[in-house]
Amino acid sequence: MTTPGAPASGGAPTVGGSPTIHAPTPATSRSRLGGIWEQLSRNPTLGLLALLLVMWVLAAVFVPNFGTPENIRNVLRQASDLSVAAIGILFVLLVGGIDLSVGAAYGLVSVVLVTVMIETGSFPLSLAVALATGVVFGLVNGVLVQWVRIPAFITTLGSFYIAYAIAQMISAGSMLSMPADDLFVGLQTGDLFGIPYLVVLAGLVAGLAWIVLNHSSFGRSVVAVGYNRVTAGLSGIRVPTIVVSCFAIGSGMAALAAVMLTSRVQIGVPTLGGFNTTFETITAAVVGGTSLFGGRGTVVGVIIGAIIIRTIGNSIVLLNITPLLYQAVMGLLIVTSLVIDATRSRYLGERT
Amino acid sequence: MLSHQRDRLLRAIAAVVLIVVTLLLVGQLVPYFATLSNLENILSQAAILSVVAFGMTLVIVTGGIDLSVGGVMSLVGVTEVSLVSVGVTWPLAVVVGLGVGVLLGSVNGLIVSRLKLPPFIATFGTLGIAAGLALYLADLVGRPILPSDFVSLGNDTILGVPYLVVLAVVTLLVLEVIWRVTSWGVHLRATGDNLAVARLSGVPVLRVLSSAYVVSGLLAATAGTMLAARLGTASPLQGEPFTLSAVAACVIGGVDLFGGRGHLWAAGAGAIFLVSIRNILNLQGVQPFMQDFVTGMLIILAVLVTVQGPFLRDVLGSAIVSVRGERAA
Amino acid sequence: MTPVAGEDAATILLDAQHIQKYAYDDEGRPIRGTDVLLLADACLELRAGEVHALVGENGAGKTTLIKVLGGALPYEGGSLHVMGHLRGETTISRVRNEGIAVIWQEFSLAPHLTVVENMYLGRELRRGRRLDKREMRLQAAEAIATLGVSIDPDSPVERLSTSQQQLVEIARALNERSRILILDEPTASLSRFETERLFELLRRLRADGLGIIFVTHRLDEVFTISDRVSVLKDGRSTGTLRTSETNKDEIVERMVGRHLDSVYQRRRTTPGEIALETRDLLPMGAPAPVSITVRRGEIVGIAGLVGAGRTELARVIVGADRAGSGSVLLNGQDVTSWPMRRRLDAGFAFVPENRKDQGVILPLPIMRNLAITEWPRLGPGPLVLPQRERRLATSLVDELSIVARSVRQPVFTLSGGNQQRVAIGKWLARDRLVYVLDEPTRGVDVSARYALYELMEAIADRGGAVLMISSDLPEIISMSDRIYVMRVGAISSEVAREDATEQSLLTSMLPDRGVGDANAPVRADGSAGADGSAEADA
Repeated sequence: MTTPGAPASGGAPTVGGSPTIHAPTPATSRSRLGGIWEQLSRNPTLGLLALLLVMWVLAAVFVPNFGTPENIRNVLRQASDLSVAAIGILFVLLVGGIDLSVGAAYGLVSVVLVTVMIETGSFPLSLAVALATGVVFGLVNGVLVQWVRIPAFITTLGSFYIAYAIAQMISAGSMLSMPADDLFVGLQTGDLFGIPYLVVLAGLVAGLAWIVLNHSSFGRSVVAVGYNRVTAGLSGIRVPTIVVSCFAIGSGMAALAAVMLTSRVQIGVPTLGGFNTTFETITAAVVGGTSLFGGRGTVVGVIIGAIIIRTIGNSIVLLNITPLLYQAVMGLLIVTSLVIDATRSRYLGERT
Repeated sequence: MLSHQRDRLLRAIAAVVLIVVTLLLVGQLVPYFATLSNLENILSQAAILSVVAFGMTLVIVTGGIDLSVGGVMSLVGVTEVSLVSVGVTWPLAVVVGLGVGVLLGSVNGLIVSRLKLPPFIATFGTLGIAAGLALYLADLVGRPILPSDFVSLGNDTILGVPYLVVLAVVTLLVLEVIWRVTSWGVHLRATGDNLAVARLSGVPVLRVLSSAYVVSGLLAATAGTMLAARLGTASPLQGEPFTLSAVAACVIGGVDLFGGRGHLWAAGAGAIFLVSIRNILNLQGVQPFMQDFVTGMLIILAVLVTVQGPFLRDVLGSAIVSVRGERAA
Repeated sequence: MTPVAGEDAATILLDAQHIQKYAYDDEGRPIRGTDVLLLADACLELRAGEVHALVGENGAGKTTLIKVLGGALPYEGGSLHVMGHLRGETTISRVRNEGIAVIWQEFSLAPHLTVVENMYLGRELRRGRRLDKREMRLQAAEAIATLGVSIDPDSPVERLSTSQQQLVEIARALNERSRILILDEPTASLSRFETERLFELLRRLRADGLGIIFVTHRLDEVFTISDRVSVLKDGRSTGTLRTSETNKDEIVERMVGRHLDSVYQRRRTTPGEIALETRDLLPMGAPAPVSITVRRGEIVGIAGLVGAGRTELARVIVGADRAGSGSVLLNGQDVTSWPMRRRLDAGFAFVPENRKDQGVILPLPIMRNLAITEWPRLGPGPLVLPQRERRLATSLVDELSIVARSVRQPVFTLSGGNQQRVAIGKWLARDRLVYVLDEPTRGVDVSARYALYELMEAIADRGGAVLMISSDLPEIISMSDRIYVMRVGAISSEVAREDATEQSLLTSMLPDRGVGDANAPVRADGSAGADGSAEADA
C-alpha cells in the first residue's frame, strides 16, 4: 500500500527522538530530479493519473467526438461496473490470491437476478439473492483455496466452468429479458447532477472499499496477510478468515458489477461476462499497480486502471478500428504493466 | 533392487486395465459408443488435445502453467487460413503458423524466467494477445475453406488409423526420446522439484524454464494446425476450450501441479479419458456446457487427490517407517 | 600412527588464515554499514588423511566458516588456500571442481528425482550426445556399494531415510572425486547405529587420503572420530589441538569465556505469583514432556543447542502449534484448547526467532508493524483511526528508542536491532502477562543488545513474566533469574542464577552420554514446520 496523501519523503522531520546515530537513509543524496522520479516510482498512482490525463488529452485531440461530455459520461458509465469488479479482485490479489472465475460469476449472477425478478417481481429481493449468490460462490472458492489448499488459479479456473454451467442450467441456455422495473431501469438511465447513477454507485463502492482497506482493522489485516501471512498469524490475525473473506468480497463485488451491467443491457444471459470480463478485470487491477504477490495495491490505482481500459476501448470504437483488436491490446497492456512493475520493484529493491 | 520400477510398471498396467474395462463396460451401456467411427472420432479429438497436453506437461513439470495454449491454437489456425487465403501454399503457411507458436512461447519463457513473474499471469497476458489477434485476423479474411489435401490430413486415415493419431503418437515418441536420451527431462524435473538445488547442481535453470514454454508454444501451434485441418477452417474461438482441457488432461494423468513429477504418456492417457467422458456425455444428450462443468469438477477432484495424496502418503509412510524402526531397534 | 605425525608428510588441502566475514545479506555481501563480524579471526588447516573436528558454541561461527570454506559465501579478510591456490571470488559449482563437497544439514537433493539422477544432476554422463544411463547407474551403484550400504539407485530420494540421503550425498562427493569433505553436524539426526556406520565410513575415506572437516556439538564424537580439533569462539579460533593430546575439559574451556561486552548487570527483583505453567506439555513429535513455570516479574531463560526443541516448546506454549498432550496454564487457567489468537488476547506475547520472516512485515511501515496487535482497538467499531495508530506508534518508537526518520518508513529500511525492537514493540501497546522471546538478540549489534536487555528488564519490572530462549550463554546467565536447560527435547536441568556458569550449562546441554542419546532422532532444524502453520490453528 502506498501511504495515502502524505509526503512519503523529501525532508520529513525525524520522529521518535535521537536523530544522531546513522539511520539507514535510502536515497537522501539523490538530486532534485531524482526526487521526482522517486516520487513517481514510489507512488505509482500519481504516474497512472498522469498517464490517464495524457491519454485523455491525446484522445480529445485525435479521436473525433471523444471529448464531448456525453462521451466522457459514456466512458465513465462503462468503467463503472468494471471498477466495481476490479475493486473486488483487488481484495483477492491483496491477500495473495487470484480469481479467474469473475467472468463466469457475471453470467451466473445476471441469470439469477433476472430469474428471481421474473418469478417474484421484486427488485430488492432479486438484488439480494443475486449478491448472495456471488458471495456464496466466492466463499466456496475461498474454502477450496484456504483449507483444501488447491492453488487459487486452478480452483477458480475450474469454478469458472462450473458457474457457467450452473448459469446455463438455470437459464436453459436462452436469453432472459428483464421484466420492466422502474427502480432497475432508473439505475441505468438516471443521473445525479449529470453524473449517471451507475457512476455514483461505483464511486460509493470505491469510497467504502477505500475506507475498509485504509481505515479498518480488516483492511489492514488483508494487507498484512498479503505481505507476510506467517507474521500476520503470529501477531494474532485470523489468517484463514481474512483469506476466505477476500474471496467472498471479490465475488460479491463481481455480483454487484454484474447487476450494474445487467441494468445496462437489460437481459440475463450466461455469457454476460465470460472470459473477456475476467481478463478486463485482472488487467484493470494489474494496470492499476496491484502486485500479484500480495500486499500492494490501491483502490484509486485500480479505478484509474479501469478508466484507462475503457478509454482505450472507447477510442478504438470511435476511431472505427475494428473492436476485435481490443483483446490483443488488453493482453499487451497486461504484459507491459507486468514488465514495468517488475522493473520498478527491482529499482526500489523492494522485497515481496 | 528394481522394486520401484516394477511398482511403477504394475501401477501403469493396472491403470490401463482399469480404463479398458471401464470403456468396454461403457461401450455396452452407451449405444454408439463402441462403434468404429465413434472411436475414430474420439481418438482424433484426443490426438489434438494430447499434443497440447504434452506441452502443458513440460511446463507443469517445471512448476509452472501455460494458460496461453488455447489462444495460441486459435491464432495459429487463423494465421494459416489467412495465409492460404492470400495464396500462400499450405505447407509454408503451416511453417509460419508454427513460428508464431514458438514466438509466443518465447515471450512466455522470457517473462517467466527472466522477470520471475508468476507463470499464470504471464501466460494469461499472452493468451489475451493471441486471442485478440486471432479475432482481428479472422475478421479481416473471413472464413475461407482450406485446400483439400490439407483438410484430408485432418480427416483421413492410414491403415484405419487417423493421420492425426499418427502425428500425436509420433510427437509423443519424439518427445519421450528427447526426454529420456538427453538431460532435458531430468533438468525439467529438477527445476520444478527444487529450483535452488537444481541451480546449485549446475542445471541451467533459466534456459530449462524457457525451453519448456517455447516447446509448449510449438506444440500448441501444432495442435492448432491439427484442429484447423480437422475442421477444414479456423474460427478465432476454436482453440479456447483447449486450455482448460489440457490442464485437466495433465492433472488427470497425474502430473503434479506443484512441479517435479509427471509423464508425457500419462497426460496423453488423461486426454483420451477426458475426451471419452465428454463423448459419452454427448452421446447421452448432455448439453455442451455440462461437459465443461464435468471438466471443471474433474480438475478440482484430480488436484484434490494430488494435493491431499502426498499428505496421505506421508502419514502412511511415516507409520511404516516407525514400525520398521521399532523392529530394527 | 597419527597421519599428522610428520609435519610435512601430509599435503595441506585447505589452509584458512585469519578469515573475516561481516554480517551479510541475501547475496552473501556485507550488509551496508555493518560492523558486525561473524568471523573475526578464524583459522583452519586441513590435511590429506585427517578428520578435523570443528567445535564451538551456538553462534560461534562454525556454520559461517564452513559456508566460506564451501564457497557458499565470499570472505572479506584473511586468506584461503585450496590445494595451494589462493581462492578469491567463487561460486558453488566452481568449488565442486576444486574437489570440495559440503554436506549441509539441509540436504541438497531434489526429492522427486531418483538417486542416480540426483548424483549426476548438472553433470550427466554422455556417450556421444546421448545420456549414458547404464554407465551412470553402474557407477552410482558402485559408489553406493563402496559405502557398504544398500540403497536402490532407482528409488526417488524422497523415499529414503535421512541417513540414506546423507549417504547419497557422500556417494555423490566420492563420485566427483572430491578430496575435501565437509560435514555440517552430520550426526544430529542419526540414530546410534547410523552414526557408527557413518564413522566407519569416514575412517575408510580418511585412509584413502581424503581430508574431512566434521562439525559437531558432541564432544565424545570428537574423540571417537577426529585426529585434530579446532575450536571457535565468537568468530575467533581459540586453538587447534591434537585429539590424542587433549581432553574434554580443555576443549570446553576454549569454547567458553566470552567477552565482557555481552554481560549485563541485571537488577534483582522478587518474583510474584505464577503466570505461566506447563504441565507435561508435549510438543508434536517431541520425545519427552516438559513442565516449567514462570512467575510475574521473572525472566526465565531456556538454554540448549539448536535443535534441542526450544522453539517447538515456545510455539506450543503460545498456541502456534498444537500440543501432543499435556497442558498450558496462564495465570492458573487452562488455555490448552485455545487457539493462538485467543491466547494472545488473553495476555501472551510471542517474538519468534526468525525476525524477518515471522517477526515483522518488512514492506509495511513501522507504524503498521507496531500497531498490528492493536488494530481492533484503535477506533470506533471496526475502523482504525490513523491518528490513533500514529500516536500509538510514535509513543512506542519513543519508548523503544527506535532510530528512524518517520513512523511511515518501511521496516526493511531499519537495522537488525531496530527491526527487533519493532518485533517486540508490537506487544508493548498493552501490558501482556507472558512474553515468550525466541532468540531476541540474535544478529543484533552490541549497543542494540543493551537496549533490548533494558527492555526485557522493564517488562519484568512491570510485572510481566518473560520466557527467553537464547543460545548466548553469557547473556542467558546474566539476564535470567532461573534457567532451564533443554537437551534432545527434554528439560535436562533447572539452574538458579547463582549456580549458573557457562561450563555447567554447556555440560548439561551437550548430549555427551554416548551417542545412544540420539537414538530418537531430533529435527535438526529448530524452525522446521514453523512456517505457515500458525494460521492452521488460529
